[in-house]
This record gives sequence, structure tokens and C-alpha cells, in this order.
Amino acid sequence: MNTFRERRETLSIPRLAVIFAAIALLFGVVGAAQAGSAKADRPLPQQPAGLGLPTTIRVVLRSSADGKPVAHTPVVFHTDATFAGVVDEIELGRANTNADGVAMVTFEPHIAGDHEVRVDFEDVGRKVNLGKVTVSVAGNSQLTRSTAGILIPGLNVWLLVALIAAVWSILLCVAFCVIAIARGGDTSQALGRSLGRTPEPAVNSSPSDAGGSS
Amino acid sequence: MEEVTSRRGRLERTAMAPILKTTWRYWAWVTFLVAIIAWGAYAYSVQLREGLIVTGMRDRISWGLYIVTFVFFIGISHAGTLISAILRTTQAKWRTPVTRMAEFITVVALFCGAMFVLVDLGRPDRALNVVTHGRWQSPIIWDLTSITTYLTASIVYLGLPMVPDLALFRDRLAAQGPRWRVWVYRVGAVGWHGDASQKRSLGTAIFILMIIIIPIAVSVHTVVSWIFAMTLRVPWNSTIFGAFFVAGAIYSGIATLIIIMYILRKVYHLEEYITEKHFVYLGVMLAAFSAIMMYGNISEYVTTGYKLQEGEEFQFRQLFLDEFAGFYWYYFVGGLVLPGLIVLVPWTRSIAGVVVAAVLAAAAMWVERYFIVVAGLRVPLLSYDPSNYAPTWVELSIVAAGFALFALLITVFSKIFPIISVWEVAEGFEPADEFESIAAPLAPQPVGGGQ
Repeated sequence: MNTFRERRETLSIPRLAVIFAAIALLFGVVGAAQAGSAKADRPLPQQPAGLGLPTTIRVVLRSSADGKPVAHTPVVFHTDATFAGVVDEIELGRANTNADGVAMVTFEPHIAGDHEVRVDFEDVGRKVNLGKVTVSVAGNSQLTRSTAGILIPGLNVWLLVALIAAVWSILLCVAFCVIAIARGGDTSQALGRSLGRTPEPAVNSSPSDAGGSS
Repeated sequence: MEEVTSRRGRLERTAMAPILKTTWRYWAWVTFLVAIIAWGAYAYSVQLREGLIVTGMRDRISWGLYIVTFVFFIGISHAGTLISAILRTTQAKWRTPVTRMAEFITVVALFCGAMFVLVDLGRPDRALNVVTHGRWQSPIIWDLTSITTYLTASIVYLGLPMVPDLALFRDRLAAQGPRWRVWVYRVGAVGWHGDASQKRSLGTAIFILMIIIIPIAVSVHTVVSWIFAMTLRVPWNSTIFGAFFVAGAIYSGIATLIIIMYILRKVYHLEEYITEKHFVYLGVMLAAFSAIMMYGNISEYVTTGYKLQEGEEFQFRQLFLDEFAGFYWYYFVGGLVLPGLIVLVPWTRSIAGVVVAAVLAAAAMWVERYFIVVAGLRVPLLSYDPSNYAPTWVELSIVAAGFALFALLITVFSKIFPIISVWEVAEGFEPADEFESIAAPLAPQPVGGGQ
């Protein structure tokens, strides 16, 4: 409900609703040196977009050899996203270039600010980075909450990792005991050996009859 | 002293008998199980080829028999290690003949349970993505971590108390049987000769494991329950799911242990060591956990039923009156009330009675997992008609193969390894205070050993 209200407010203020989807695209031609590789041309004009409104990101792929458009080539668009406190790269979408070498995806920014969209294309099974587009949305608001839950100091993933490490360390102690049995010695000796201390002489008693198990 | 030696000799002969003598019945049983497994493998090949469309699972009810059986196997894995560890920790003297079987059930059940997760995947080739793309925030990763930790600890916990017995077999059976078996005993015995320092090390290792394995086992079924409880589904919105699942796991674990104990006792003539006392004691534990389960059910359903939030009414109707009513009432009356009564009423408190109670309880716990998973997913999330789920022949075949694999592994184990802990049972022949065994790691007293 809040989301919709916030969106209406955003649209009612023209200044905030206008798109600053800017775009400086991709002209660092990473794969240009490769035979048969392509480069991105300057972007086609962007459609206006604002917070929560779709904006189209277009790239034109041209051959680095002769400058002709490269058709039927998959282009992948990535950006960074935050979800439940985790920041990672997500794939916005992928599109094949058309006969004019144009590939485009629609991006709907939900948070104001600069969104960096990275573009790759696949060249003979190899991913080639074409560069990046920055989509800017003015204002200081967002349509969705990107952080979930509450943050309790000290209660985090590292606590879980520490717990698991502690359990496995205890299991490691058991492994030392098994080593000690195998060496016919005491646990402390096995631990000492593993820590690089001088081995002490074995204190084994003589093997009992029938392997000591009888 | 002579009597002790004689009893010990008889015990060793009993323990080695399954290994030395193989009847045609054994091979017939193994062939039967292998045939079921082969049929299941064929069904799985069909699923691999055609995809999950050959199962009854669809987008709305996306978990079926595989996940039900996974949860069931993880549950019965508590038979072993947890029960064995609790009995060891509480120094229950009667535990010694049953702990080995219990520990082996754990390892086999965990293995079979984990297999069903893979079977449930439409693309098992992507299974490693859980590791490579997993996040610590995901209950799936918690599950993976706790199950692998429990499996590792359980294998060690099975193997460690077996060391003196494997040394015994290594020495006694060196001249008999195939070389690979002697090799298994030699490796498993890790050079055990029964000297004082080895006994100290073994005592320390068992002591550490029996303590640490209890919280690990509890964590496993708690996390399995969180796979459900942390999903946004009305019937799974429960804060007691963790405790409820752990209690259910121990309940089904005890039931499975009683059933397997009964079969092995009968087949390998272990009547001298596994007596009515063991069945009755385990039966009393079964009755206690049936009461805990009944309490959990009543507590859960009375509170949610009183509030009856959106979606709950549908769940209550299908569970108590409509589609799943038969399952639920069998579970509650036949699987919780009846086993408790059978054990508590003196006239039915016998080996046969306890075994019947255990069979009812084990079956009921599988049924409980069925309606938790399937009925839970059946509650519509939106105003669409509820979906239905019916397992296909592929799912039924694979589940049958899973149970056959479980039985086969236990059968094969009993032909290779000592099914009762010879040195621990033999300790009971001595007049020594058992406290010495448990306290061994804390004091320089010899523990265990085969002497």
C-alpha cells in the first residue's frame, strides 16, 4: 500500500518524475583486438524514465573490423542489487542484437541515484565486457525496502560461522584421538606431534593377547 | 571368572556367527532388495530423461513423496546416534547391546535421506550450485551444513566404539573369509592392541563425541523443520516446528530401532543379549515421546484453530474432515495414542506388543510428514481452486527403492561388522562399576578395550 502511495507522490512532482537516465555508453571496446569481435556503438536515445518507470537501455554492436552492425549476438546486462543485506551482481536481462546490431532491455529503477549497468556480449562462447551505462534517477526516495529485518549487533553470519568452526574443531580433536590410537600412543602425543613438538617416546604397554580384544 | 570367560566366548561366537555363516535366505533377501533398487534406478532414469513432469509434483504442490521421505529418513536417523549418545551420557547400563544397531541406523538413514534431496532435483547436475552459489542466510545452507556435520560425526561415532571389536575380528578372522574383509577389519581397527594409552584415547574420543553429537543431532531436525517454517505458508507458520520435529524424529527413531532390533535379534539369534527388558525400556521411551507428540499437536492446533487466521480454516477442514482426514486420524489415534497405550497397559507390554506399537508409530510418522508437506502446500495462496497431488509410479518406485536400499545397507552391514558391541556387552559381565567407563576421560582409568 505504501508503495503505491509513494509512487503516486513521486509521479506528481514533475521534477522527481523526470528521468535522468543518462547514458554514456560503452565505447571501451574490450574485445576489439580479437578477430571477429565487436564493439558497442553509441547508445540510441533513451526513453524517459523515473522512479518505478521503465527505461530502455540500448546498445549497438558493430564489428571492430569493418564497423558493420553485428546481428544475432547475445548481449547481457548486469547491475548491482541489494537484497536482505547482501549486495551482489544481478542479471537485468539479455537480448540478441537485431539486424541493425541493436540489443535492448528494459530497466525499472526502484531506488533513486545512479545505477551502473554493465554490458557484456558473447563472442564465440567468450564473455566480452563492452562497458557500462549509468542510469541516474534524481531524488532521495525508493519504492521498495532493500534491507530486510532488523540488525542486532553481534548476531550475524559470523556467529554462525564461528559456531560451525567450533563444532568442526571439536571433531578435529576426535580425529587426533583416532590418530593417537593408530599410533598406539596417547592423545597428548598426537596433538604434540601435530603441533610440531618433539615426539616423546611411546608409552605403550605390550600388546595384549590376541590383539587385546579377547 | 570361568563363567565370565565362558560368557565372553559365547558372546564372541554370537557376534561372529553372521559373518561366518551365510544361508540361502540371506541371498534371497539381498536379491529381492537389489531387484527393487534396480526397478527404482530404472524409474529414476525415466525421471532424468523426461524431467519432473513424470512425477505428480507441479508448480502449486511442488514437494511430494521425495521430500516426505527425506524428512522421514532424517527423522529416523535420530534413532541412532542421539538415542545411543543419550543412553551413554546417562550411563544406562542396558544400552550396550542396542547402541551399535542404533548408530548404524543413523548413518544409513542419513545417507538414504540425503539421496532423496538429490532425487527431488529436476537437474541433479546443478546440485553443487547450492555450495557454489549458497548464502549463509538460507535455511538450505544451514540444512546442508548441519546434515553433513551430523553425517560425519555419526560415521565417526559408529566407527569409534567399533574399533576394539574390529580388532577382535581382525585377529579372530584373519585366516577366514575374503582378503578384502580382513583388510576392512585391519584398517577399521586402526592398529588397536588394547593397551592403556589406546584405551585412554578411545575413551576421550567417545566421551567428546557422545556430548557433541547431541546438539548436532538436535540442530539437524530443527533446521529441517525450518525449511518449512521459514517458508511463507500458512500451515507452516509455527514457532514450535523445531521442537516438534526433533520430538517426532526421536519418536520415529526409537520405533525404527525397535523394529530393526527385533528383526536382527530373530535372524541372528541374539535373544541372550537383546531381551524383553530392552524392548520394554525402549517401549517406555516410545510411550513418553508419543505423549510429547500428542501435546505438541494439541498445543499447535488449539492455538492456531482458536485464532483461525486466513488460510487456517482451509487447512483445518482438509486435515480433520476432508482430503487428509484419514491420514491425520490414523496418525493421531493409530500412531500416537495407540502405541502409547500398548506400551503402558501391562497386558500388552511384551516384545510383540512393543514391536506392534513401533510399527504403528513409524508408519504414522511417515504419514505425518506426508500431510505436513502435501497438505501444507495445498492451501491456496490466492483465490484459485486447490491443487491435488497424486504420486506417480515413478515416485512410488523410487521411494520403494530408497527403503530397499536402507534395508540392504543394514543387511550388508550385519554381514561384515559386529552388530552388537562385544567389548561393551562384555564389560557388563564384569562386576566393575560402569561409572569407570564414562568417567575414563576425566580420570586415568582404562576404558573400553577388548580385554
